[in-house]
Amino acid sequence: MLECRDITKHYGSKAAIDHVSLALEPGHIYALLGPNGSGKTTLMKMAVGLVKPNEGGFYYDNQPIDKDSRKAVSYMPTEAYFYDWMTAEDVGKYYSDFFEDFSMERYQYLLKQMELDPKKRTKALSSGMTAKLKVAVTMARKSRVYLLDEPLNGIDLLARDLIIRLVLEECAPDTALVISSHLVEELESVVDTAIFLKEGRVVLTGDTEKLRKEHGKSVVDLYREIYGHHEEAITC
Amino acid sequence: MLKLMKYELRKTQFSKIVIFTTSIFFEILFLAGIYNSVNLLSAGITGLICCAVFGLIYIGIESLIVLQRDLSTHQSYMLFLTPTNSYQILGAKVIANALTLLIAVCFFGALMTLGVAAVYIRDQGMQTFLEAVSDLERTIDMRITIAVREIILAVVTGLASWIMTIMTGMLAIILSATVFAGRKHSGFVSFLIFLLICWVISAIINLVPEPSGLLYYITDILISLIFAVILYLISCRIMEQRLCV
Repeated sequence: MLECRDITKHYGSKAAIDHVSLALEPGHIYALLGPNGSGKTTLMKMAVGLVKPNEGGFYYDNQPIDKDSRKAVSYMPTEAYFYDWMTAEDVGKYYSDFFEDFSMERYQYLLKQMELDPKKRTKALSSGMTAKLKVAVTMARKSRVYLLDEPLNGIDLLARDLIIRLVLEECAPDTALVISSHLVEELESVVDTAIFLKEGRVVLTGDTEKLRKEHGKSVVDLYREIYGHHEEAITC
Repeated sequence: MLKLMKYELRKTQFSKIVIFTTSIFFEILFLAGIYNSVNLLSAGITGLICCAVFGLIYIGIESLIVLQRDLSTHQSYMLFLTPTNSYQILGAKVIANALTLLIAVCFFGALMTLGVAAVYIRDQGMQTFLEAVSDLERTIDMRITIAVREIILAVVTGLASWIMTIMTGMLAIILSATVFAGRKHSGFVSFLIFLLICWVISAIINLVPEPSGLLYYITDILISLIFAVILYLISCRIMEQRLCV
């Protein structure tokens, strides 16, 4: 499926991703965890070719990623990226033009569920509505791999429940989902594998159930332990 | 690639609508002025000349403006997340721009023809005009055939040269986006790189002896297209291997 082999990306003197090797297996939902600047977004962007690595690379079905791998990998960026002149309907038509696995019926259903007006221009959408549109257009594809970068950010509680339900619906024996998020509590019940990134390196990875048993902690507590600043004290 | 071209044309739809409707407005002024008023006539002529000159220039460079915008904002994801490669993306931009320019040239040519026909009809009458049109085939003799051939060659030479200029601009923007991504004044840096590449290409072209006559046009077209292809291939390679958006 999708894997990276010894991948490294530098921005100046800083290694955003430092010799990371990971392989996604079908039938799993992965949580990609880490604080801001840990390399989650850079890693996801390299998986779809938006960012080029300095060393190593991403492979899909053992072939270096290229335009064909993007037919099977659906990526949802954390940023707003739609063309200003498009309406939500136009976004669907655009995806329908380029992606064979895109379902217009499912997209329209998701727009309705998210309470998004198809005729509204993307530049007139609030940040929360844009976030919902990104999820709708990404999950309307029937892909083998979904990479969702902060899909729950800026989304209201009811829409978050919908997104989590969509994620669970899309999880099939032949698909893999990777979700990066700071909302670890909400993800813990959904994912089965956790990947902890710190300063561009994988510091811990594994089945969430096994991690809980081995460390005697929830994923949330593990997150606090790995990324917490124990020596700092907050005084009022 | 046709789908990419469709959206490239869509991105520049608004500016084309503005240019074409403004031109039609001045054409109407001109036609009204032929019979009624010198003021309308002169306003129409002035407006048409401005629309043609500035409109063609803007349409010509608009693909560069769009590329700069595509590479410097997150809207680039709309292009680079599609299952297409850099060769298709850039090729679609170049072809869409050349097509738009050709349509614009034909559009302004049609407006000019309409204006000339309107003046002819005003001076000679409709009957004489219709006779002249039906006699057109007989009036195209050797001298006019050669003139038409020279005009076509000049247009093709201009188009080939423009494609080379556009490819130079695209390479400059891509180089700037690759090396100076997200930094201030990357647009200005693109312009400096553009000037540098133009200077290098001119220096190489000046080494080629300049023939005369028909061979001049053919050589010019070939040189422009060869450089355009080289610049295209270099640009695509940089986009595929190095560009991060």
